[in-house]
Amino acid sequence: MNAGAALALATLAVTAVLLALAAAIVARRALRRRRTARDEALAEPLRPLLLEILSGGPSEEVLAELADAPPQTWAAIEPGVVAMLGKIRGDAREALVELLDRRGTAERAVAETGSTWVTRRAMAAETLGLLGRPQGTAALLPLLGDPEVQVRVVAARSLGRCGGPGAAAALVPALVGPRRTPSGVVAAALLRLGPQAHPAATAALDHTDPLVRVTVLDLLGLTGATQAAPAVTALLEADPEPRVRVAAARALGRLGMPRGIPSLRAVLAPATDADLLAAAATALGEIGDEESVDDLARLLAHPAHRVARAAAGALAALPPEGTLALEQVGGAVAPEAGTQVESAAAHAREALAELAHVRQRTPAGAA
Amino acid sequence: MTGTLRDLVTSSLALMDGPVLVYFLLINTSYLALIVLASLDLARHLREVPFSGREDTRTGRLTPPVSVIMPAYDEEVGIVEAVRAMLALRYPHLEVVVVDDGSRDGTYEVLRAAYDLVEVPRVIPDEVPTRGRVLSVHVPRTGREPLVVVRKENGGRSDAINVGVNTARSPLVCMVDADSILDPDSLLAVTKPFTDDPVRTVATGGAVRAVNGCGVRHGRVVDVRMPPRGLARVQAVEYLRAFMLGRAGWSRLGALVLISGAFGLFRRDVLVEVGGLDADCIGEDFELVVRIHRLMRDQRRDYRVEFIAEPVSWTEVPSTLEVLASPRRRWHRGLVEVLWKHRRMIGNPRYGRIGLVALPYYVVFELAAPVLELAGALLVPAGLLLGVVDPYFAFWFVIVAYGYALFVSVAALAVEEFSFHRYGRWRDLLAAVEASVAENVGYRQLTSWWRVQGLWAALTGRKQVWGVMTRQGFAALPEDDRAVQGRGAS
Repeated sequence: MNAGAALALATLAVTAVLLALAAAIVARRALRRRRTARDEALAEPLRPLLLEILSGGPSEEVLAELADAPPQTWAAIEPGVVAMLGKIRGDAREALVELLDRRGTAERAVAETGSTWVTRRAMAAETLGLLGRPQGTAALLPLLGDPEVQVRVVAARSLGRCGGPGAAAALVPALVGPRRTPSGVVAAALLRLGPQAHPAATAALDHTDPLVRVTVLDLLGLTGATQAAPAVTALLEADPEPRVRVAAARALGRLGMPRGIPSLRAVLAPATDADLLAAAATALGEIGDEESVDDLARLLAHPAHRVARAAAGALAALPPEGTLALEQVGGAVAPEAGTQVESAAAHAREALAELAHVRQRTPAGAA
Repeated sequence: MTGTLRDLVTSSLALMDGPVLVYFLLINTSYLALIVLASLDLARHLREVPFSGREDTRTGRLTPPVSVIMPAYDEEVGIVEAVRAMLALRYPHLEVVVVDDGSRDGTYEVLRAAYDLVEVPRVIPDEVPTRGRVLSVHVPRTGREPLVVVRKENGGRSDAINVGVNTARSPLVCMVDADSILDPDSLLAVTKPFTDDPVRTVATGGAVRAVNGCGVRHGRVVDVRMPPRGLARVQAVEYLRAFMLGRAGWSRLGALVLISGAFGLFRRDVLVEVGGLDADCIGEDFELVVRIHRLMRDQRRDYRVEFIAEPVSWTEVPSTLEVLASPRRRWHRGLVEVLWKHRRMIGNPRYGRIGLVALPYYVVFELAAPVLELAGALLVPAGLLLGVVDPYFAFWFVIVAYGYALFVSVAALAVEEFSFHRYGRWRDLLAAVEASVAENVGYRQLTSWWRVQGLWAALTGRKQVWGVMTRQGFAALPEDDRAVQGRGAS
């Protein structure tokens, strides 16, 4: 091929590809508009019926009419109906679940969990989660080992919604291993399970992976697992991982258990890691340990801002001794700028101002 | 004289013709490859929307609090509405930190009046180094709005953001410009990777699009349109191709090195660890992300930096050549500075895809591109005029350099149409195609010239001159429903 022919061919190719792209854009837009219009036309007659369901008191006739809608019409509204499950509560939700049961949505979703398509498996897991039936758990459990992380993520989230036997025990190990699920997703699912996750979480406190220990500590603290306080205290005292000790201090504060106080006080030494100091100070404030006021007051001068702020916050939560300590430190007369005294006074004044601000906003008589 | 010029052009072309053609072929192919990668990413993202769990992020107890940092300098006209829009974002735990960087106008006064601000004795740590002294800190008297206004001595945008990072009390920090308009669910979407994978995710960036021509109501973009004027329209297509799809492509490769300062979310502890933004660097946003990569890889940490194409921050793009020139010079100069500062990473296997792919790409295809672009745009026509260029070569040049580039831009429009299709009107589609053509005829050559000037300024160490920022502001327009007209911005 000579140079002229090659050039002509290249020009032709570029022009053809450009025209093809332009045609694809136009065709896509036209098709999308047509499909949207068709779906809206199909869904339009059913919309008042759905609104009746959402209003909370649908009649049997309404449910029957929706349950008997032609397949094409149902296909146009089903995704919207399923998505709505996650946004509503009470009778309206129960009615929607009933409708989806009649349409066989749950059975189809269970079958789809074995699909070779990633999107179908994930959507099936999502549907089972939104339906929230403990029966969905059995179908979801195998998906925690799915090769695709997105499917594992949806399965974990849905297990949190469905609950049931084995859900928590399967979620905890999903935090680690070659097919692990991101920790935030697992933590949120366990949190949604609440107290039913306590046995599995408590059993995982001695897991070899620190990420597992941190995750279950946060869960136990947030869900008020007071029975786990001894094990949590033991981790605060002896765990080799600093972030686990921080999580343990945080959990003890959330649990509000006085039995954790000696261990928390024991870490209030200047040489302690700043994150742990801050967590311990906050926890002592949350538990309400008035005897740690002096230690906390000393921490106001700590060079790490988060420690001094946590100490100030804890003192503010310990009236009257705590606030008195703040007033004494904050009232230091014209300390030299840049000194520890000045820094401590500034933190104390900040905490007192925030306290005053909160009191000002809180209506009289409110707790 | 003509003979000398002819000899010069002939010898230049003899030296460059082959390499220039190959270079343009490669650079356009690289753009296309990024768009293909981005389209894969977008396709996956769109497939996952029905089961993304965003609603859980909105209501979840573990959703991390976010501090939105808005640096403001002489933003009196639009700051109140901008803050109101930020406070109205759909996000469960939000704090807005406005840093008034020594404004000469009434930026603070309008905020004080709007939110009944009172001064508080708040302690601002010095975890990130800063320059401008903090003068005072203010919060709303009622405490209803989670707003903090910091007044400081002027120190520049980077310094203001660093003060904002120090002030922020949330574990996540979102950097936005004071005139950015965020889509209501933007924060929910960019936070999602942090919620799902809090241990590994260190930074996420969101897409930035041109707001010119769009309808804005109560600080929200409610009617998406192409800009009415040519220059802004070309930039709208450029933002789509380079800043949205290009970055989505890099993210798919796991080698995203640039998160726009107009919309980026970072873990605060990581910002503290790296020392915040480098106030001396012109390409501070780029530099920050490269520095984060460097720290993470030096410490062999498992981490993620991601780009989320769906949530959008809308920003006004310059509508005059004079205003546009300044940022283009500055960006290129910043690119030189960042690449020079982190030259040890370039080609270094220790830094994985960042060192072996992303940064070398920026050297070869971003740093050098304007020089070769300009050389081609000048030498080929000159050679044709002097009769020393083979017309076949000239045609090849046009096909490879501009025809291919046009194809890449239209491919980007196709990806947009198949994914988010935000421009709903047929006339916007036509305008976008027109802009794709216009981008290759005049716009590219002009921006190349400005970028070469930036390169020269960097090499000669000239003092950086910042553009003049003039804002009209949404509130100054008479109607609530309005289209954003072209305004000056640097």
